[in-house]
Amino acid sequence: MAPAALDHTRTPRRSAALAAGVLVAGLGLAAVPLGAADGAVTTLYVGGTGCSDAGTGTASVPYCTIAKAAKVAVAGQTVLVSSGTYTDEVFPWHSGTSGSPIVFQPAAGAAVTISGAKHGFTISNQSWITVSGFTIESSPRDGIYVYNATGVTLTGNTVRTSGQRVSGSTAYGMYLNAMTGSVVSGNLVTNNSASGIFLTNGSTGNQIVGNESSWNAYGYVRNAVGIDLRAPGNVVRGNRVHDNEDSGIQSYPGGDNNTVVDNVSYHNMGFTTTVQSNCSQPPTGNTAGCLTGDHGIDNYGVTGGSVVGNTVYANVSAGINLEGVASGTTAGYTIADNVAVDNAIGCPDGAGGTFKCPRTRGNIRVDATSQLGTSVDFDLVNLSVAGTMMIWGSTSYTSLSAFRSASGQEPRGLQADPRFSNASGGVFTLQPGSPAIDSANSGAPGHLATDAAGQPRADDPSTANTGVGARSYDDRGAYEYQPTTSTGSTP
Amino acid sequence: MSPTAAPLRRRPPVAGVVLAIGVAVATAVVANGATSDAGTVPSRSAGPPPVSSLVSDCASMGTVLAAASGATAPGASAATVGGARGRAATVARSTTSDDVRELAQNLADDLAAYRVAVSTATSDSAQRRADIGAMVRGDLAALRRLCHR
Repeated sequence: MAPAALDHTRTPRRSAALAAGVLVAGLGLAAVPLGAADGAVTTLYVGGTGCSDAGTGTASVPYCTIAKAAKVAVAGQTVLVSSGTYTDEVFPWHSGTSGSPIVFQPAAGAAVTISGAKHGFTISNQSWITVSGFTIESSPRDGIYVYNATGVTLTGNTVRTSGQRVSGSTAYGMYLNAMTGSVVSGNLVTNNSASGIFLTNGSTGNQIVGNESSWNAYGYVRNAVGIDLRAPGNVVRGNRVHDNEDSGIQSYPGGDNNTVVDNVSYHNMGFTTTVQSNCSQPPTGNTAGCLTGDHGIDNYGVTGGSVVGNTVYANVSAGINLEGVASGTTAGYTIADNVAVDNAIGCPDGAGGTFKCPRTRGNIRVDATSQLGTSVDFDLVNLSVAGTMMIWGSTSYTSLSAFRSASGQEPRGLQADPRFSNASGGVFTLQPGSPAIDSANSGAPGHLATDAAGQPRADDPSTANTGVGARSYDDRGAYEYQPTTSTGSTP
Repeated sequence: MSPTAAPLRRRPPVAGVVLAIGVAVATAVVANGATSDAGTVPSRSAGPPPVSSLVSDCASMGTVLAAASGATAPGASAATVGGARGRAATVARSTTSDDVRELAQNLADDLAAYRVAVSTATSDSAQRRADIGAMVRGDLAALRRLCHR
């Protein structure tokens, strides 16, 4: 380094003065994250007539590529992108700060697509970055890749068709690796060739809120999940996950202590004529085809989580599933306030008919390894045809009452039609008279004062309050019934 | 010897301090991952990793691939699977290549789940083991593709 090269050319006094100067100047500058200086531009522009990556990103001479703007943008600057389809991988070179993030977003009214870049965005070793409002499609690798970052906000993006449905070429919609204290909200993550949103490697303290993750599939092996958690201590709230090739939401080894609340997980169930390496084939109909889909919410080999206030409907196998905890380990799960209906019945046979679903059954299933320390209560379950309602340990029960008598769980559970507005159409709000209304435990871990749609809890004057906790009128399931005339949302 | 060292010997002390501040500024800027249109060299944490990291990581991938292949062989023990997972996780932690990290982490994650399937005797563990085994093979295919193996 230059100062060392200078040392032997100077007297000790001069060297000391020089070292002090370096130290003072260096400390003073390095302690402050690089940011837009006072009076510096706060907006960088990308795309449009007269663009040049050799310029400075002004409105009159914008950059041509988002990647160029990402290279120079510093804390407090916003990168506004004009309409168009861009092909560059966006790789921010600097961090923002908590109060002055670096923001990437389309210009007002603009529609911006990033197509074909290896990753649409790679946020690696940079923090306090916001990515908002982009469409990212056809990335050979994951649509958005984050590594070792905090304070990232990914919001309002559409991420689709990442990777290829070929072994070795698949890609996630969002791959979130060692990401902490971040927010992923309001994104549509669909039709990717691996799981939609994937958290791994110690990613913790994140909020995964209000996203839709759907139609994700490997194509050759049944394993793409809507939201896949391999990391602990995250909140997954108010998401809609459906029609994925595997489970809607899952916590797998590494994913302890996650809170899964107020989500809607439905119809993770399908049929493909492509043979898969782990498929279940129907005994009738198209017997050469494969059944896709799995649990609504799967918890496998994990402990300490909460599954609260979700609506879980018409998935291929057990709607809410706990299994695979190491022998002698306390699972310590809380399952409460959920509405789980018609799971593991009526699987498609590929010829317009249905057959008996081939894998695990039940609206809620707790296997023999997962019972220790697990609590199941205040759920509403139902089947529209006879079948397995619940599983506790190795025993199946066709009714909630039988389950309750044998297990001692669900003392305040209900078995009844929840009266969804339009389940086949994916509308799971409650109709008047639903037994889910005003009957939840508002004190369940993770239970919120608002529902999946952000609506406040509301007391239905025509329904007796049978719930418990600070508010005895909260509803079970993801959506709070909003009576025409509300008495207010606070006690 | 730095090419700038000889001229500096003839400069007065004030000039040296000014230069030192300049060096400090440059150091601070680089430490913040800054760059400029003039082509300042980025810090290690900024910009894509050097290609050499991918090359060197792929060179050591043979043992990871072999261990993972063995882990999904019939009759492999939970300890064998755990060992393979450890190798993959070590690569994922140490690499500076985003590509290698992502794929090695995928492999480590799926091997962690596979270890649960191997060590948990439930009525459905065979099904789960088959599912996850297929995923591990997909992870291996991706690593082989990346490393041209």
